This record gives sequence, C-alpha cells and structure tokens, in this order.
Amino acid sequence: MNELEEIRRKKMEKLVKEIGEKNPSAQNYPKAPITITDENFDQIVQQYPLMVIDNWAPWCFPCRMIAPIIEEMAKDYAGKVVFGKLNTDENQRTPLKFGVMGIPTLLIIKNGKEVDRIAGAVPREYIESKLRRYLHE
Amino acid sequence: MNTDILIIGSGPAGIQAAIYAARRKVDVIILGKLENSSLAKAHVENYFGISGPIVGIDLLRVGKEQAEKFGAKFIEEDALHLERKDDKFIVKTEGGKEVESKAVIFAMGVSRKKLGVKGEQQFQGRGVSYCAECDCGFFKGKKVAVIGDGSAAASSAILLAKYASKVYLISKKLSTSEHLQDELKVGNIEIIEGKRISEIYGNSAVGGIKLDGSSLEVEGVFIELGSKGVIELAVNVGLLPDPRGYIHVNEEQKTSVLGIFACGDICGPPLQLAKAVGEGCIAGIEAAEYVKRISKLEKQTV
Ligand SMILES: Cc1cc2nc3c(=O)[nH]c(=O)nc-3n(C[C@H](O)[C@H](O)[C@H](O)COP(=O)(O)OP(=O)(O)OC[C@H]3O[C@@H](n4cnc5c(N)ncnc54)[C@H](O)[C@@H]3O)c2cc1C
Repeated sequence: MNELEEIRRKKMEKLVKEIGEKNPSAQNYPKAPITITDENFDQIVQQYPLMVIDNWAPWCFPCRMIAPIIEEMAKDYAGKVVFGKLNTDENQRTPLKFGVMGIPTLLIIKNGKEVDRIAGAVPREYIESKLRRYLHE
Repeated sequence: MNTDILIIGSGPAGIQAAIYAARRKVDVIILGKLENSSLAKAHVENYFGISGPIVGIDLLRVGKEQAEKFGAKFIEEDALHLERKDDKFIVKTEGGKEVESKAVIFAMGVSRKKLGVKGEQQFQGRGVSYCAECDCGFFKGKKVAVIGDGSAAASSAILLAKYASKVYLISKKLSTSEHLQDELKVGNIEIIEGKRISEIYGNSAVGGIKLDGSSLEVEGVFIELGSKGVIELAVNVGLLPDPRGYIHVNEEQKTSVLGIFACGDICGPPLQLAKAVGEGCIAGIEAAEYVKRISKLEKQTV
C-alpha cells in the first residue's frame, strides 16, 4: 500500500465512524454481501439507504477478480454501505431493467435509485473514489 | 504433444526462461509470436551492455536462436485455453494443437486492451465489452461487432456466433491460424477487413459504430485485441490475477498454483527488459528444478 492509499484509508475510516455515530440503527447492517434476486430486489433497496450491487456470474473471470474486494469492503463499510450480489445467470429481469449488458457491473443505489455504476473489474481504490461522494452527501 | 515445461509467451522473459530451463536438460516448448512482444517495437538504450539504440526484434531473433541451440522448441502460435488434468496442464493452441506439460511458465507480457476511440469508455458495460465469454449471454439474437486482428478476436467471434444473430469481425488485417480461419466460416459471421473504427455511438447504450465514415448498426462491441490474456488463461487453472491484471509471485517466481511460474511484465512494474530477463532466469531455473523433483518422486513411488 502506498502513502496516498494509507491516508485515504484513514480518512475513510474516520468518515465511516462519524456516520455510524449519527445513525445508530446502522449497527444492524449486514457485514457480508447479501444475495439479491429479482424477487427481493425492490424490498432490499428500500431497506438500506446506500447499496452497491455486484452483478456477476459464476463463469465470468473478471467477476472472480473483484469478488474478494466486495467481500472485504462489505466488512470494512459495515453499518454505512450494504453490499449485495446478484447472479445475472439466475436473475435476468433486474439486469434488463437497469440495462446491464456486461459483467461485472457494480450498481450504486442510493435511496432505491441508481446514482452511479462501475463496469468491469477495477481496483478497490477506484470503487472507493466513486463511493466517497455518496457517503458525504 | 508432451513436454516437461511449457512456456506461454516468447518475449524476453519467456525466451530467457527457455534458455535456462533447456540448459538443465528438461524438455521445453515455448508458445507465442516474437513480433507480438512489446520489445519487437522498442528501441532499447537502457539495458546493460547495450549503449546505442538497438532494435528489439533483432534481440528477440538472437534470443530465439540461442534457446533453440539448447534444445527449446518454438511453436509460433497463441494459447487459447489452459486447463488442469490430474497433475498435468493441457494447453490448446490456435492451430488446434494440444500440449501436455508438467509445469507452465506464464510470460505473456501486458498488451493493449483498449481501442482508444470515442464512446468506448462511455458505453463500457452498456454494449462495449472486453470479455466475450462473460457477456455473450446478454446479446442473444442481437447484432454485434468484434474488433481485433488476432486469435482473441477470431475465437470470440466464433463463440458469439452461437448467441448473436449476426457477428461482424472487424480487423485491419486478420492474422490467425488456418484452423481458426476455418472455424470462422459460419453463416452469421461476416469478416470486414481493412476498415478502421473511429467511433462507438449510441444514446443510453451502444447503437452502432463508425467505420471509415460509414455507420454499422450493432448493439454490442467486443474489443478483443491481440491474444487471449492472462485472465482468461489463468483463472481456469485457479490462479487469480489482481485487479490490475498482474500475477503475484514469490522470490522463486512461483505463483499460488503448484507447477505454475510467472515472469516478466505479467508480474507487474517496472515493465522493463532488464527485469523481464532477470525474472525469466529465475523462473527457468526453478521450473526445471521443480520438474526434476517431481519426476524423481514419481519414480520412487511406483
Ligand atoms: C514501445 C516500447 C518501448 C520500450 N522500450 C524499452 C526500453 O527502452 N527499455 C526497456 O527495458 N524496456 C522497454 N520496453 C518494455 C519491454 O519491451 C518489456 O518490459 C518487455 O518486452 C517485457 O517482456 P515480456 O517477455 O514480459 O513480455 P513481452 O515482451 O510483451 O512478450 C510477451 C509474449 O507473450 C506472447 N503472448 C501473449 N499472449 C499469448 C498467448 N495467449 N499465447 C501465446 N503467447 C502469448 C506475445 O506474443 C509475446 O511473444 C518498451 C516497451 C514498448 C512497448
């Protein structure tokens, strides 16, 4: 890890802590990615104010490259951001609705609406740089 | 075909590994095309012992002769697929050959994967894809274009033809094996050669591409430049590159998978000739030692 990443990580930890103190109910948020399906999608995105949904499939190689990052981030951001995983092989309605035409695609959902997306396997810092502004807002 | 060590990639890292391994009296097969090495286009001035600029392709040719002199066999074809069978590895080449090997050295380098045209970034995940295997399912019954000149583009077009209604294979000049050329003769694949793509356009998703000024309507654009890369070959044998696409190795150039070594640009920066040959040297020695060790163990346990 280089110096810049280290500074960013510390700042992020502080921010995450502050948000947690403001919103105590967030203590009960899941600490691991939850499974999203066509059936539970609407209910889950209403339940959590800020979500990252990883659209993936078992045979997709780049999806396997970011899977460990999603796991890690779900733990590190527990209480602030809820991470979900949607298998596009088994659930086709939701990707179609969002116009997802490639995997991996990360959908950033705030208060039930898509605010941003990231296509392709990218490093953790890139996901964090996108997420940062939705945490601040 | 059988061998002790299979090296994928014939750039400086792979060739140096071949030289060291072959001198240790193990069988070595090395795959890849010299002219696709990053070094082929380089003018080198910062390598030990070379003061004036020297043309990379000349270095590669001399290296190849050296490796052949020590017994390494070159197959100037790309690897399309790698898998594990019991304690061996099997690679399939673009020429339809199968090579079975006890150890594998990854030396595929890094290559350009992005086209750099207008719309490419905007539509990534909305019709622009870099992985035909991943995304073919989203294009059932649709028209798509595949961009590229080599084996990756050809094999992706063949795969996509099973899903899409029409596949345009767009290349400056297609250079791939006869075997793949034959497989491309499918009703819904059309090869367009000699045209340059200048833009990918659309509204919320890809609507088409501009080819030398004229428009071609497609809903998917698969960018498959060069050869199958590290991700496609590695993940199948349980090796996970980091998100930048680099393979992590220890000081003996061993990856996390037993029997697979890696060297050169594929292991990350500095992307330099001196580092590539240094790592190639270690990978060649360690792979040869590994193969000798397991051969001895096999004999002892019969
Ligand atoms: C324009 C340019 C200038 C440069 N100048 C310098 C310089 O001055 N000094 C310096 O130190 N470095 C320089 N470099 C970097 C240097 O060329 C690389 O660091 C070096 O070539 C890396 O060696 P490599 O063997 O790891 O990879 P490469 O040389 O890229 O070789 C990779 C090989 O793998 C093969 N391959 C890829 N995929 C497959 C597949 N699926 N199946 C089979 N084969 C495959 C390719 O065909 C190729 O033969 C330059 C690079 C460029 C592009």
